[in-house]
Amino acid sequence: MRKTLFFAVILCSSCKYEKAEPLIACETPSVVSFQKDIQPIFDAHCNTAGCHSGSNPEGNLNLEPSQSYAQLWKKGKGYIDTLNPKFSVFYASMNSTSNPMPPTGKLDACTLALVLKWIEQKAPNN
Amino acid sequence: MKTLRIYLLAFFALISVFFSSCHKKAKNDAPTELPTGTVMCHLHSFIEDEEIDLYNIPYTTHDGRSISVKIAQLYISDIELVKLDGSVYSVPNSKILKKLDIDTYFIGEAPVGNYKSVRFKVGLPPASNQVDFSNTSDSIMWFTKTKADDGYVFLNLQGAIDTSAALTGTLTPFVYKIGSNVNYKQVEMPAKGYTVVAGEVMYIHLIADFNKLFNGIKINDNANLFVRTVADNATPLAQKIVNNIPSLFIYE
Repeated sequence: MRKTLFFAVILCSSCKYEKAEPLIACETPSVVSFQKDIQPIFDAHCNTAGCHSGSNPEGNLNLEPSQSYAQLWKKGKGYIDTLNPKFSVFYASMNSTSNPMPPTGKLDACTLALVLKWIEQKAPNN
Repeated sequence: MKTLRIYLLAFFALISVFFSSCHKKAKNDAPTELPTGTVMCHLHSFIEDEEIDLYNIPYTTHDGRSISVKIAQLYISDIELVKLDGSVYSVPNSKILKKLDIDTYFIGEAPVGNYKSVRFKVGLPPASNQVDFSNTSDSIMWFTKTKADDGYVFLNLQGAIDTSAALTGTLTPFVYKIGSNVNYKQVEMPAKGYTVVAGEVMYIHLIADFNKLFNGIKINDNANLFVRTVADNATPLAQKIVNNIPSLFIYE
């Protein structure tokens, strides 16, 4: 009888349930600030020497503090698209799986959420 | 007792089979139909290292040659994503008209997955290469103002270039209007690696360096500065320019 019960338990253990990966909760400010929240991302990851800085920046996009906001809004370049924030080159490039910006590796999900939220808030110079 | 054991075993076996069929999908599992992501193109216009931000101002090449651009437009069509195994996904109805003041273009939806490169053609396919009078906004991309087969300009680069050996800075006008079905040119980009993710936007970042069109052209001969008609597109000069088209494109 014991053997029978043991066998039955083994059989029943084949039933499994996969859990979805839990979403990471990000605490973003209610109003994202370009100066306090976005520019520091550029300073840490983008405008180092030889990248998005200097007189001949990568992609002709200078992200140094004195120029970054105006550069992101250059007409026709598509870096910011407030109508379709996820289509913004700025966000999509950072969110790319295969070729993310910065090239050293995709930034964490909360940083990306911050950027997207700022664009969704019409990307103000605040 | 033995009969009871057999019944018990059969009972638990049935229970097990029943529960093993309850493999519940997690909420973020992919649906059975192949999901897609959006493919966009971010295409800059350059003269070597300098982005063409404005028309009619001089840009300088590495060797000191000045070039100003009056028009820099081209059609890109038949865009294909090459999968890792070499098979190809053709993006349906993919066609863009690159203009100077717009860098971002919607290409289409593509199945999720990993791709190794992109390829496309500069120009329009023969079936579309007939002037469409309903779309007058593209008229600078026509060879004539009358209805014509083979009537579209595929690539229109006009401006002025320093043709002097001493690079004096004196600019001479040029017009390169490349078209005709025989010049529908394939461009194959080198392997890079793209991942299309469901519901996400993937950009292909490219630069079109228009200075490359002059490679191998003796620009100090005034006759080599003008390709304006469909007939001109059958000349050896036009062929040289067309053969330069694939080198126009590099990854950003």
